[in-house]
Amino acid sequence: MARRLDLKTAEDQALVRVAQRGNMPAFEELISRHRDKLYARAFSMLRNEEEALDVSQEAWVKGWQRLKQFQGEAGFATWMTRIVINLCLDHLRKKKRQQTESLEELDEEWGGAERRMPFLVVNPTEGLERIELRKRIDRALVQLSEAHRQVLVLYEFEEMDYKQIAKVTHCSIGTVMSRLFYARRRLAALLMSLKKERDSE
Amino acid sequence: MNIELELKIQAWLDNELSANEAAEVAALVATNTEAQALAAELKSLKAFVHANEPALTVPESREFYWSKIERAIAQSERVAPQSESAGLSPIFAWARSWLAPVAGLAAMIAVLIVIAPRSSEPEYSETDTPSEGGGVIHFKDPASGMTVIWFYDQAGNPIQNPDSIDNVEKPE
Amino acid sequence: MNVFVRKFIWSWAVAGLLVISSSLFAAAAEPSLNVEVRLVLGSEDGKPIPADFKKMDAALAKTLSRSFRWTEYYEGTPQKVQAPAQKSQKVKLDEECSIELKNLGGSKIEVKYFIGAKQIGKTVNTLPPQNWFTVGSVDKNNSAKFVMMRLVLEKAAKKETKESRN
Repeated sequence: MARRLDLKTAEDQALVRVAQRGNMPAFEELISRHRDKLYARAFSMLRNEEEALDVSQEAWVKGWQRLKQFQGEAGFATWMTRIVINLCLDHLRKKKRQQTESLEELDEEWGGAERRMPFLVVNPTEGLERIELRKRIDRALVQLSEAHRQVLVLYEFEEMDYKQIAKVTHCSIGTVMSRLFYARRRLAALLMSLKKERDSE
Repeated sequence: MNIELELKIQAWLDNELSANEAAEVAALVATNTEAQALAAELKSLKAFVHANEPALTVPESREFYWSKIERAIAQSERVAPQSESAGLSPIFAWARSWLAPVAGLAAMIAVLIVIAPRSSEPEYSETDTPSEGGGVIHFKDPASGMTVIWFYDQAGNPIQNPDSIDNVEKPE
Repeated sequence: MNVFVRKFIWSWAVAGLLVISSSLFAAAAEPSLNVEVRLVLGSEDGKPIPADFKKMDAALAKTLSRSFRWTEYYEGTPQKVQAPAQKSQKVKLDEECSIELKNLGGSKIEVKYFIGAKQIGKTVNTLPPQNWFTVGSVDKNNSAKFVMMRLVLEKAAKKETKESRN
């Protein structure tokens, strides 16, 4: 007789196999394990709680619908974050269509004022606790433009290479490189100003 | 330093250059103080960002979050068979349109026969969504055993966001 | 018709009559349901709350705050409602919020939820013994209103009546 699967202790792979046969409790267990990560990734991309919630939930629905296609080449969480990233990009594209590109954005594409800024010699993260570090990153990410944040998140968090980013964002590798460079330089400047703020307190 | 060189230093740190190009950039960074400073800044920033993705938790309970996904899945599965039957010939479509209710009815009778002799009451739930574009969310908290039916109407449903009702399920 | 066939038909007829009459009797003897009903307000920090409302039980408040955005939860005075079988009964919770309960039998209950004269929604559920069943929505002041219900078991109800007499 088949042994009953203990959902709480089963590995992701086992849960996926059971869920692929239509078992919803197994899928719910997978959601409960990875929902925070997926939500955090959507939030990093969209910077909006409501939109991140909607998109992450939509990703789980899509995940269920496509579960039979999951072959297990990558981990389940990685597979799911790719779905959420694609949905975030679609969402941002739809939003972008409603907006017109401003001159400021074009300037950002090529580096703007931050490109001419001197390189930092002091480490802006020195002596900070992990929680404080994450808070600072979070505050600095808010201040990046959407296009630069997108590329940074895809490279640093989603661990895509230039070619993959160019493909999913529908732009050239040159644009990915300049956006990433600008995003990093601006982030360095923002972290430095946050450090100064903290030091003066 | 021009922008092309700056981007090359970045690409070198990101392991995106060929072996020859990487050797060229490494030589430049070893001798040029400006290139060195940029490489140091980018390197420390990369390490710092990579390891510190903001950690967030879903601002909804497990049950509530799942109830919305479950409903969306159920809705999408209801829509799928309808669209599948759209391409069938009229006779097949007619037969299928009758087959489903008859099979459903037969299943219902079978279930009734099976459960009728039991003394305990089955869990039962049926909720009407309000009219005029409103909706309903239904979930059960396993910890307290509490069942919640949350009604919202078109005028306002600020479950998480008072300005929008987009974050909750729409009625069918 | 031989005796065996006659006996067979008679025994089935008697069994059928017994089943029908017992089910009719069971339907007629369907007991009333005792339901405890209370109104709970979900509020933002610092918003004024009616004087007769007190802070809600912390565990239940936590359950609600995990799913809803309101941070404070207050409960009104509980009401004991007796719902006779197949009859509707209106329960007024405050100036604008009310419900209509209908005992459909077998601890199944229909709840119509009203804000003012407007019916916000209707639900039919089996009231789980001991657990709360809650319907709710947002009111015009952007506060939450939850109507919490639970079955009061006969023994507990009798005990309470006895205690109140003493």
